[in-house]
Amino acid sequence: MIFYLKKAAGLLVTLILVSVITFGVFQILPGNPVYIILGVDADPAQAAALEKALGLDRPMAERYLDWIAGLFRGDLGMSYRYQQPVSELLSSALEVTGSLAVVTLVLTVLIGVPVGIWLAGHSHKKYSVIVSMLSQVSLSVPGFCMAVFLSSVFAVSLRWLPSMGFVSWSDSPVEWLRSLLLPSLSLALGSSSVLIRYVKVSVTNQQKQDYVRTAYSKGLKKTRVMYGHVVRNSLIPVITILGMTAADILGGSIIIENVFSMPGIGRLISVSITSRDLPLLQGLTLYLAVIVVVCNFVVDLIYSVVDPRIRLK
Amino acid sequence: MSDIVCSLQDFSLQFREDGTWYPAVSDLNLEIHAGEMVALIGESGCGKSVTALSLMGLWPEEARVSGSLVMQGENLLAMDSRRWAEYRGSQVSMIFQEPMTALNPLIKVGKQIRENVLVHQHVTRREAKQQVLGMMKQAGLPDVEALYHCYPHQLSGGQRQRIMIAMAMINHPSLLIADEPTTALDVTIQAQIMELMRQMNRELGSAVLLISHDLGVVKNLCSRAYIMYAGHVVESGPVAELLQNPMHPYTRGLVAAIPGPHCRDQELASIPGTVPALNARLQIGCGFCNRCAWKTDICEKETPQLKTVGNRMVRCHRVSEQEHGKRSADKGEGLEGEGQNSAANVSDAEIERRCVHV
Repeated sequence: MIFYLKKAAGLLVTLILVSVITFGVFQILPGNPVYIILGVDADPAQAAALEKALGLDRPMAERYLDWIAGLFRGDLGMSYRYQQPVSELLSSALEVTGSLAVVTLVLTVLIGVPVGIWLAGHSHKKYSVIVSMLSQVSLSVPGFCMAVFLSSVFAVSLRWLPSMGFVSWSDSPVEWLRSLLLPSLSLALGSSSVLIRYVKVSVTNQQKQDYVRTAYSKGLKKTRVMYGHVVRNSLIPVITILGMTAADILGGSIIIENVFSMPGIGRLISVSITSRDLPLLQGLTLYLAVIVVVCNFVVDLIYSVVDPRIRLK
Repeated sequence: MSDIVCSLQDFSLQFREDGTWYPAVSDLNLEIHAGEMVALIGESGCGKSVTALSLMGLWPEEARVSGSLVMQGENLLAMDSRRWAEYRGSQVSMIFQEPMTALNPLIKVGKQIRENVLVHQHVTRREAKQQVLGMMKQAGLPDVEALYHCYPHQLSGGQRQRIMIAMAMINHPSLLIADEPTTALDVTIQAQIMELMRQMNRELGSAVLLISHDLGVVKNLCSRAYIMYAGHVVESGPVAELLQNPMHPYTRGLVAAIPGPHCRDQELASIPGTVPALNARLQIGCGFCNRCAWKTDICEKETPQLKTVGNRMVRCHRVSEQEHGKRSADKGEGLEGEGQNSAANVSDAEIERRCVHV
């Protein structure tokens, strides 16, 4: 219990620091947001009026507290470009990116874990080299190439799956999945290749451990030893990789989201940067930082469930 | 004698290195009777652990085995993997040197023992748990309900080895193999674990093959011992006789190396040199001759055979001579070094003193 309280306290402190840094960075950035909104040759009187209206003339600490108070109300300010609340933009983009992350993680595990285990058991066989090579190829081909390739085969030529857009789960779960399969697969092929290597090494190492010999000496069959003992003990690196992949995709895959025209976080990031939409960018930055911190926190929690020894440290 | 549980005849195990097969165990003959406690003694690399693993069918994949391994009338080398799985953990069990690594760190110890019940008996999980709790009590563990739900890292070394013993004994095997079960434990705990094994042997009637490098440790437990050196049994017989009157020079060295009150202010006796590496062993001649003080020409030219001397077996060219003129010639012919000289003929009381730590 104390372990979890400590972890939660750590999470809270990190989040406060993240908010301070995010806020601070946008304060010290050169360029006055007033002139970004009005244009560089704006009338100084008009600029001063807008500065007052936006509250930019008040002390920094006060504005920080205001901003934090806004956060708790779910108010991250208004986007300059869309003239919509940043929180609304974020949450609708998060639905897309979150869906993408879920499907990608599922595909990554479905490909990476079984292939990794299989490779660990067959590493001395010649045909395993072919599988290793294939995973090497999917690792080295850039995501957007994979995306274009998959799209041209499965969407353009075979017409099995849509090539662009996103359908909400609440509209149609089947279409939701269909709209996500190609972008998720483009992401998952890369991340599962990494996972395959980690699973293979981890399982190979665990198989050499003494407790495996004990398991055999109890009369367990090979598959039972593998799935009852070895695989579970090999999970730690798997969780690490999955946590990193999750944070990565939730942070917006700018290229993949653009190739498949998905209105997700990645798209929002590229728009906010090109249009100098500061409130949106600030909201996104905070979101990205929070995602990384929260993913690490969740990974820590899962570690402690899988390996009871970690709770001791 | 009572009926034989386990017998190894001309058992050999070889490893391949650079295209040549090197014997790690050669022509081993060993018998264990029902309910008997037998010791297999030797230093690291003498082949005692691979012999034990072979009885479990767990010899290394790259090894080649030959000869005969018979367990309760069944030829082990003819068994398929399904039969091996039935056999392991029910007819023969094994406990290992290091209980920390031998237990799965991520599974509660109770469940690890229960797994052994569920694999071999058709019982419900609840019944299996009751059996486990009973066996944990019998293995001398306190507060078994709480310990059942502990992970290995939460237990002490002695408790972990008790868990291993409970796990090994839960299906009442005919033979328990204990591979240096106390080497990783404190001396005080060692005696407790040895006592527990004797108790299990008496209460459940399982025969025990105790593997150790220390002849002193097994003195009070085992009736007979086999001394192994470089893959060969060099001497075998009743433990008391081996300790009192070791015939093979290697056994003499082992006996002399047992520490005790007599060693105060003396350097501990040791046998000079080490066991030769697998690929450096002589194919012809006595395996011990490069460390032996009694070496003569014949030792290098001819491989000694096991000879029966009374109720013992010994593999040494010079044993009969030595037997012949033992009392008189011993002073001149004995091994060099004080400890070893004094080891050649020692009184019962002296043996008792040396083994007090057991």
